[in-house]
Amino acid sequence: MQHIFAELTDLLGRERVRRDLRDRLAYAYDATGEKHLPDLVVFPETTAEVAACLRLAREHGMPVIPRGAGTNLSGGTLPLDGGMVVNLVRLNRIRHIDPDARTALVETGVVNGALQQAAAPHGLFFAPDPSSFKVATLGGNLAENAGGPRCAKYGVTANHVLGVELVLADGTVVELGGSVEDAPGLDLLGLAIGSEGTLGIMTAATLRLTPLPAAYRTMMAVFDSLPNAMAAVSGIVAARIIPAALELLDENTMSAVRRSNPAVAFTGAALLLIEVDGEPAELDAQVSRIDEVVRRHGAGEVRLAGSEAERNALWAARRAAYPSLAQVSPSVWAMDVTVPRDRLVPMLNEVLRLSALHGLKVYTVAHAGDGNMHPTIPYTPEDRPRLDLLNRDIQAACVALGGSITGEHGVGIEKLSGMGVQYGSDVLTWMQAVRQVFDPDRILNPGKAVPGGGNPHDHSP
Amino acid sequence: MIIRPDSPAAAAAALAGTDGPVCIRGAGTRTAWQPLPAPGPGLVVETTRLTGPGDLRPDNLSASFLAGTPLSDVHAQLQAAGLWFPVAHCDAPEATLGGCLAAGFESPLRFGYGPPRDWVLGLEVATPQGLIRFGADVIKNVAGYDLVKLHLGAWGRFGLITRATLRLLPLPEASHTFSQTFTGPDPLQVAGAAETAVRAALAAGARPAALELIGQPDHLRLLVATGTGNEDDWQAYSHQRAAMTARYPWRLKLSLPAPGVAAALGLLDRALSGLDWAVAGHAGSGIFTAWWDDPAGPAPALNRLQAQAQAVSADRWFVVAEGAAARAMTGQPGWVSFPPRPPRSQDRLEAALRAALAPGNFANPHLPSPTPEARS
Repeated sequence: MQHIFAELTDLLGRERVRRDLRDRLAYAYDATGEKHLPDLVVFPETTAEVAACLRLAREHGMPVIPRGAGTNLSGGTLPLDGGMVVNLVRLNRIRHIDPDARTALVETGVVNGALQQAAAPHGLFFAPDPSSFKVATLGGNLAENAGGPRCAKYGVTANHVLGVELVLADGTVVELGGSVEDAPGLDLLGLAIGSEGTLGIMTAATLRLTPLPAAYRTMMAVFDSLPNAMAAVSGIVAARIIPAALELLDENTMSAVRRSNPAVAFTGAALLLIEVDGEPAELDAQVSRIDEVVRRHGAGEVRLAGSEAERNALWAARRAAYPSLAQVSPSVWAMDVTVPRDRLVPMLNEVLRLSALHGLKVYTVAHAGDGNMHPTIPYTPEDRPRLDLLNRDIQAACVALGGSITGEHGVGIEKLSGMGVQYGSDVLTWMQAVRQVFDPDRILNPGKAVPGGGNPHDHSP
Repeated sequence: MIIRPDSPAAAAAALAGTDGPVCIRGAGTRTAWQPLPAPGPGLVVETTRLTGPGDLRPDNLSASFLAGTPLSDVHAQLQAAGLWFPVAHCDAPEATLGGCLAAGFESPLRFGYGPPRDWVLGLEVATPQGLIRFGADVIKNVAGYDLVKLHLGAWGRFGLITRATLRLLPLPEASHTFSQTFTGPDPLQVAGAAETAVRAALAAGARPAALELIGQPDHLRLLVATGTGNEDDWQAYSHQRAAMTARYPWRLKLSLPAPGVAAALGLLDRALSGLDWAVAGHAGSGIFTAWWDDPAGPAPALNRLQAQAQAVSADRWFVVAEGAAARAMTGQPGWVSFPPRPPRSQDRLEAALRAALAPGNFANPHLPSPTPEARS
């Protein structure tokens, strides 16, 4: 340990290599709430420094845990077995925005929100906007293939990346994809995006930017039954409308939001927040059709934001959901299942049934427009055995309906056991083989993303 | 021996336990690019009987089709249900869905809707180990690595795509194609006028689905499509591209920062000066295809183009010589890409993945690696 510490200090200087307990504690956690102490934390500022750190880690057989802002919800940035946290936040330069080509060349420690601010004067934005966009780094977004409310219309992060600079486990720097469209060769970029730091460390990326919409229309509809709200979702799709956002809060969540934020006074069994964007003339027609659809499906209260302030107020209710649940209990288990959109109603019914079966209250928030649900369960340590069963059963139900155990949060450590539910051994064998090619010594984020194959932290059945 | 399986199970049976060499193909519309069947007792597995009605899920905006279904048939089935796969193609109408996906085909609609890889949710693939299902019928799936994308553009090297699940949109209610023609004796002036028109279309706040350029250096036509574009116009566009492919022996693809119309045509004009040539381009995305004739072969023009692209655009460019041009350069079908930078580490990763996931390099072994160095 002393040896690698000295070598890293020679490389980066004393200030950018930390091993005091206070510093290690600051990087022992992520948004899951679990804690595992790293041995070291380093702060490289260039791709070459990241590569040098990886070469040293490999020489010393030390695990490497890449980290952005630490906002991930699946344990992907936890140093399970100690090791070296490579904190990328100092790789924070926006190197170039090309408004003609609608691309941005960024370092991966840039915060998503900072890129949004830099792109806006050009009339552009970066479409992926996870809820944590104000603090989450683009590198984290890419490593997790982050989602957000806008995926139904704009797609996931992978759809907005042209190329990345990736440092492999042996310190080799490769360019996957490119700075222009249609790089030749296999789509290794597609493998890297969403690989949760297990195939390499992304240090720079060329991102595709999108023209800002000319206008928005934001609506809220409250229903007296959850099935009616979900039927309205199907009705909106059937009306040939792809909203930019179509968010659902169930009754439990609405009640938690009301308790923590009395200004939000919506009461009902389910709430839909619907936002469409585009040209104003098209939007007015879409709003009329949506209004007709939601009322036909029993919406009691329908509100259209008449100003930016009203739009923000409607979004505040949605954005308050997770913080409100955190006030219900110190520990909250956030699930991330995704089902085909025509299976949302059976999935919601199954969640309700399983909630009753296991005796744990479930609060559900959903990106209904893309089938991504977040059943969220406040719990105490005593609840843990029941929570594990509920978690297992909800994952199994979603897979039985043709879905995925994770739509945007990633596998991390939380969902390793579910990978065997979603995939057969054939697919998992392929994933292990891919990992073996990129990182034969398994030093990159060990114990995450893909179970088995000699994974020392794999406790999956 | 040629086998034409009529079900995914039959395709898997044909490949069971094989260590190759197997030539995997769809309707054979890109034989100039495809590997040739290996000499001797090699097997050819063709997907043209893997057809049938798709499994449509309108409320999920998705559908699954067997891989041998012609892409034109996929579009027809979806259109009848008010659905749309926002991926057009410029190949022969009999080109199969699986073949298009395996070949990493281009879509003129990519400016408005992104490349085809953004619209594939899942694949079923026949391998020597059996049928494997990758992905899921959902838009958001981050469970493990995205192995669907590994098969797209891989030319069947990891197995035979037997079924694809596609992400869809509602069929647009209104679609139009506008065209504008630019002519003149000076190719650079023609290119400049076309670029001005492209920039004007973008600056006006329009959100076209496609911005396509096609013609000769002294006569270019710009197609601006909204919605799906006009079907007749797309057919005429496809025919014009097919005519260029039939007429000229050599073909290349050039990528530059978008829109790059003047830059691309300037580079091509200098590299192909004095030769007979034609061009088509996804002008909104900076991707151009050029066809040309040169009795001296493709190498002189490709070498000139590389040198000038590097001078004009630093590292922000790719050139890929395709089909016969690649064959003339390397003695192999397929493609050859530039810049031939120092052996790219990606080549090493590609070779290792093929060794790990396609044991014995069983499928389409005659496909070249993407850069000359990797082959040497």
